[in-house]
Amino acid sequence: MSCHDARDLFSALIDEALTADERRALDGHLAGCGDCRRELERFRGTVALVRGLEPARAPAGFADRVLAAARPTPRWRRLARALVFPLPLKLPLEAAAIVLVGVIVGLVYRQTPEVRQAVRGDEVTAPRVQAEPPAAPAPGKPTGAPTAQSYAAPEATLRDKGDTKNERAVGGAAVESDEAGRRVEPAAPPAISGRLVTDDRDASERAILALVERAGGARLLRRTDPEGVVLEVVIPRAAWPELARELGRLGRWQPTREPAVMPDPVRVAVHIAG
Amino acid sequence: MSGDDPCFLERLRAGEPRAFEELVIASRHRVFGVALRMLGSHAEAEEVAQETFLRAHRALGGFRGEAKLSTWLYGIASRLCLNRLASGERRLAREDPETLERLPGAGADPAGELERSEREAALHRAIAELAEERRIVVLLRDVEGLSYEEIAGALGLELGTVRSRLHRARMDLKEKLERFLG
Repeated sequence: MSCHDARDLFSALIDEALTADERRALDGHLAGCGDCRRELERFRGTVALVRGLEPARAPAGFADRVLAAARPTPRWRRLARALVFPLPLKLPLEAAAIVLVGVIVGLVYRQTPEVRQAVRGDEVTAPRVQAEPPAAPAPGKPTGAPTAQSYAAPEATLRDKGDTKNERAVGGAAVESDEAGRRVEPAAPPAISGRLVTDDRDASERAILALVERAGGARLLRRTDPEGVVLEVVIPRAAWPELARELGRLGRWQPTREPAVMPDPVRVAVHIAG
Repeated sequence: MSGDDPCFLERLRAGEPRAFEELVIASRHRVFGVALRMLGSHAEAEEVAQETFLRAHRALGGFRGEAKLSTWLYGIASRLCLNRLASGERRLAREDPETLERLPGAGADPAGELERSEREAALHRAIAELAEERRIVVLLRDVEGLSYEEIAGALGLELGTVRSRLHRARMDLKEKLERFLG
């Protein structure tokens, strides 16, 4: 046996895959060939290095990902997939859907002042109240400071029309009702507006309304927005300092509009946010 | 792997999810290891290993048990690797072989640690440089411990071909690792 033939059997020798004849012939050669014995040792060393490789480990979560991928797809999802396939149809449909959603959002934004206002978030506005053309005063009944009825929103104003004898206390003084009510008019902003940041929106709202009622004022509007509640009230001018103190007590009052000269009565819009 | 257990095979053929989960958990490291050392990229290896199990999942109903389940899985994984390597459409470059298996050092003997690290890097490089058809055979034999017959069955080769490819692979490795063999 030549050295070349002997070395060709090294792999099978290591794996014990030689026939008896091959093994005998190889042993005979190795007994008399130092070079092949050294070569065999290096060959054994090589195999030992490979067999000593540290086993690789699949990444964390691999089994979970395989099991999730192997789970059968629900029938409705297969059906949905079949409906939107092939891709040349699916992709344009998806693109069109995205454009459509964008257009709708734009239109809603442009058409809805409340949304624009909520996005700006810089000023609280509400339906406006302005003096209705005065009706003929009842004989012998002087016009005076407005009452709660006169501050009410349009429906209430219409409902209360004719109730001219109501008297309420405003700032501790008896005030006679004025039939000349107020009506909502969206053009004029409230004289005072601002934002009240408070821990308890509900409690703050209740406290404001209680004070307004005590002062002889009325709530004109209430609506919610993503940040909280917008409350618009009307109160006698004389009651504003008390309401301002109350707002300061309830939380952080950040006025955005507060004129030096105030009308009487004065409309106040409070954006209560938490 | 527990693939030789007839009850387990029956549960797999019946499509029992729990049995398939056991199979994945038991064999994930070995299937991933073959793919990693064949492809040299963790990301590609995970793709191929996952595909191996998904194909097995689809075909388990028809698995007759002529080969061991583990051998069958190795066969699927090996063919996927070889097909990917032959396709020329590989999206990911092979990672540096030295980064494939960085083992934590013992720390007590810095010189010995350095030598061990160099030797391992050289070994990974040498395996990565083997011809693909030789590399898969030496991995299945010397890393995964398959017999010649199992390798022949998994790869669809003649026994003599397995034997000659394995021998040539080992000889190639010996030449590349000569300086570490004393």
